[in-house]
Amino acid sequence: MSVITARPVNDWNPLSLRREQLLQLIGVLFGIVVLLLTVLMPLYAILSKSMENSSGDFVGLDNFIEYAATPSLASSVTHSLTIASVTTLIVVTLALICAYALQRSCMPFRGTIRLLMMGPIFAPSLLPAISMVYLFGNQGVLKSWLMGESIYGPIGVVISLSFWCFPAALMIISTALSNTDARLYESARALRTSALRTFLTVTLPSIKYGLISAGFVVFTLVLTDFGAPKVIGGQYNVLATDIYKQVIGQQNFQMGAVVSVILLFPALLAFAVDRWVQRKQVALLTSRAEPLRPEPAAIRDWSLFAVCMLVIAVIIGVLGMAVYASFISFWPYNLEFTLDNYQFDLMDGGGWDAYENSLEMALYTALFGTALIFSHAYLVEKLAGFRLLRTLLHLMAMVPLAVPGLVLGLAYIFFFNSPDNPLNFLYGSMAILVICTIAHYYTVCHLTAVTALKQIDAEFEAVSASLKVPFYITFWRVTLPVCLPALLEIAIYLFVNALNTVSAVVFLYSSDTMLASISVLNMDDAGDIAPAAAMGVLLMFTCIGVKLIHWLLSHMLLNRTQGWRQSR
Amino acid sequence: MNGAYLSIKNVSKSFGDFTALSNISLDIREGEFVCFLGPSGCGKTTLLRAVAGLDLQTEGEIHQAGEDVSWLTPDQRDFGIVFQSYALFPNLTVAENIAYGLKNRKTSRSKLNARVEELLEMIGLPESGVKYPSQLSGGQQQRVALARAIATSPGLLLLDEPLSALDALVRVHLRSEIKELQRKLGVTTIMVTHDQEEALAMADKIVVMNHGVIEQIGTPEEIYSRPKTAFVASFIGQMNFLSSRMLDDGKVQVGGQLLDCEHDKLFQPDNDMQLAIRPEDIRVRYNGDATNTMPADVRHVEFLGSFVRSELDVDGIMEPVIAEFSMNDVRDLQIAKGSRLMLDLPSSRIHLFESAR
Ligand SMILES: Nc1ncnc2c1ncn2[C@@H]1O[C@H](COP(=O)(O)OP(=O)(O)O)[C@@H](O)[C@H]1O
Ligand SMILES: [Mg+2]
Repeated sequence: MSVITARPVNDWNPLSLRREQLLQLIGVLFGIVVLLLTVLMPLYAILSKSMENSSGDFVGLDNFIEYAATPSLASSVTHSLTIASVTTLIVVTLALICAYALQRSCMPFRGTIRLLMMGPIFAPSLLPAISMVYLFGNQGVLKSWLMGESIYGPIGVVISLSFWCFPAALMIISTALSNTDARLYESARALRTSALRTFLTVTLPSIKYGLISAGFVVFTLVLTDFGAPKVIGGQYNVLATDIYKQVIGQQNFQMGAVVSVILLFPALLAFAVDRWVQRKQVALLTSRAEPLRPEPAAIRDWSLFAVCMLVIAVIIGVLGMAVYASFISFWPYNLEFTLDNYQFDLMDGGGWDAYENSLEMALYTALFGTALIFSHAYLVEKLAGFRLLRTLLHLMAMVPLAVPGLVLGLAYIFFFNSPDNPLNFLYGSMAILVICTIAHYYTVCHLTAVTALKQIDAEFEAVSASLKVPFYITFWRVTLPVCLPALLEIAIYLFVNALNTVSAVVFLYSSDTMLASISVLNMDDAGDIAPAAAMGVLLMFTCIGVKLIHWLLSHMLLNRTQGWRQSR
Repeated sequence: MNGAYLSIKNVSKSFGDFTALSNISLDIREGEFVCFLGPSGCGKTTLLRAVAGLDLQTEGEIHQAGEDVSWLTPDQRDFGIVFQSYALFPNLTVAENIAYGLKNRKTSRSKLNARVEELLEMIGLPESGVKYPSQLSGGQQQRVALARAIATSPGLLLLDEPLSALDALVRVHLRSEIKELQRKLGVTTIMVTHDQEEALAMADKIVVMNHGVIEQIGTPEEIYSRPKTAFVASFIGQMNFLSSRMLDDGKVQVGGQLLDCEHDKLFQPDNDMQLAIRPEDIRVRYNGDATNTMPADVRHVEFLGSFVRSELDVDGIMEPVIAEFSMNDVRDLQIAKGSRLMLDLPSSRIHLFESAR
């Protein structure tokens, strides 16, 4: 008893504690202001721009009426929707088959197959489009396969984007298929249910939300992608290319804003559906389930294997074509091996500087983006007070998901280039590229961070408050180390996307801040298609390299922290 | 000042339209071990978190050590807390976890180490300082959480269902350890639990709660033998409830029987009410001091080791009556299925409650 010294009751300092709350308040307010400045106010700027005439007077919906009355513009809506629907159908079907093969069959080499199928995720959407030119273009190896149709148009766009969107859909559907309960299948078998009926009554309902979610993700990706239609779309105009043409080609900013606002609608719808699906899915996951262990079935396994091989052949074919073409002197006349296409400094398009700029931009984006997004997610998820402000911050963090990159980029022009804006000095700098890219990819990272934070004990903050340890010390000593894998994941996601993004930054780069992905676009535009392919290939291998480093780091981390990272 | 260490005065808490606590008042003396007992969802945790300042009450005041702490943040109050989930920091060793609150206080390293050693000794894990929480069993983790909470010698210890996540055997063991530790330290303690056995075994004072109100406050003995409400009577221990009627002469009519009852409550004559008696209070052997005898048939007998639980069919009463008899009674009176008994319901053991409307 005597060893327990009585603690003096009043050894806390009221001033320092007020400071702690003040710090939290400043943190939340800072987050709100950041998102206000980088997302909401630019969006407001583009909305108001769409209702102005060229001299800046308010004209209501006149621009929209003019848009609808211009057939060449209005046709883009149909085009965009057509391409998005067809691509979604193709991608979701293929992804379902492949995901089923990966999760529910005993076909060989599943790990390797999955890895190869993720390939397209590491390249900008421009790269498959450039491959299409080599494969099916006027001098394409496989031109005859198209039976007289031209690749420059909807066919090329659909193939390129199907290729590019496939990994995203595969991941979502795989996850849905892995969250299943083996007992359901055992019951079905005990009741002598046929395979088809089992698939329709057990499998499909359990992955319903995964399919819907994958569908909308692909639909939005296609609708808002700008790279592929730019390279391979030919005369087939879609909403994304229209914005670019109106702004860059015709300097018609008002009409660019109008198209942007129109593009915002389907994206908003997809966003709403995605939120709804996410909420439904949570309920599915809470039940405790037995993992399903598939049993071998020769016919099923080998036919699925054949389909997967076909898909992989296409992936390797498309990526391989780009790699091959980047090392060829002059397709198709001189097939000699050369490194000339990588002499970027000899071309118009920014040269190696562009690549360095890209690396720099991606690095800053990953660094600042991760720090910013994670600390905001922490404030949203773990604080006790300021409930209203925290909810507001969370809602604001969800907005970027609904905003296509091109729209955000154009919005930045209107907002940051305005002479009245004190932040005007950012325009044309590296900083604005970083800011725009962070804002563009904010939501996915925010959700990753929130999920990771939700998984750690909800009472850490209460415990440290009772021990009179300030929240930021617990954040530093406990929350951050525990969430390190999620932090790495966010950083890599930001890095890869920053490297490959075209849409968000195409309006914002200056001659000093030329980026590699933009230079692919520009070189292709100028007819330097082999160097464009070379730069695309370079980006792809950079991403693969970064991913490898990530993999190594995670493994080292896991080994080092094995002591405490144990499943209980 | 009424000498209470912790005073909860008219505390209410609502979540939107839902009232989780209504008008809770309670005094706790220094060094007392108090249990908040009640079914899940009755507001125990909400009240505990209000005391800690983790979720502030909507109305009412809380005074601790003579100071109004009602609107202070948790870090401005003086308490240690242990949660059902342990909430141990997974990336810190056991020793680092325990030292977590001490580090902040500019204690010298040697003093700090000595204190951690002392606490590890106290919870019976002297060798485990270098281990990580995931390398310990649930019971050991909960001990570490307890050590971390008392490391800074807080004036008030709050325990939210600290034993619920543990196996039955560990639970009983840890129960007595916590109780002993508390007695040794003399720290005022509030423990939340939904387990009546736990509360009866550990508490100096039990606060029985239901639907956000306090049903009764008292020692375990008082709560058990003199339940104030039908809810308390039914929630703690076993209880037979028989619908009955208060007559003009103060007697209570149950079925066809008239019973004498001692009670301190005022009931309107000619009122429907509930008569309650515990199974172990029903007697079958008496030496002429019987107060309320009634004949019954044994419908069913269940052997439970040192005693027998039997289901009785009492003449004139619809509801089955449960009674517990010692093995001696069973042997001597040859109680078995189908036997006929003469029961005594001692008037001092009968509880009366308003009939539930
Ligand atoms: N943050 C909250 N929002 C809304 N309702 C809540 C919240 N926290 C608790 N409740 C409700 O208050 C009631 C009491 O909860 P609680 O104090 O946790 O019960 P318990 O006695 O089991 O500890 C429950 O009905 C619960 O649903
Ligand atoms: Mg509770």
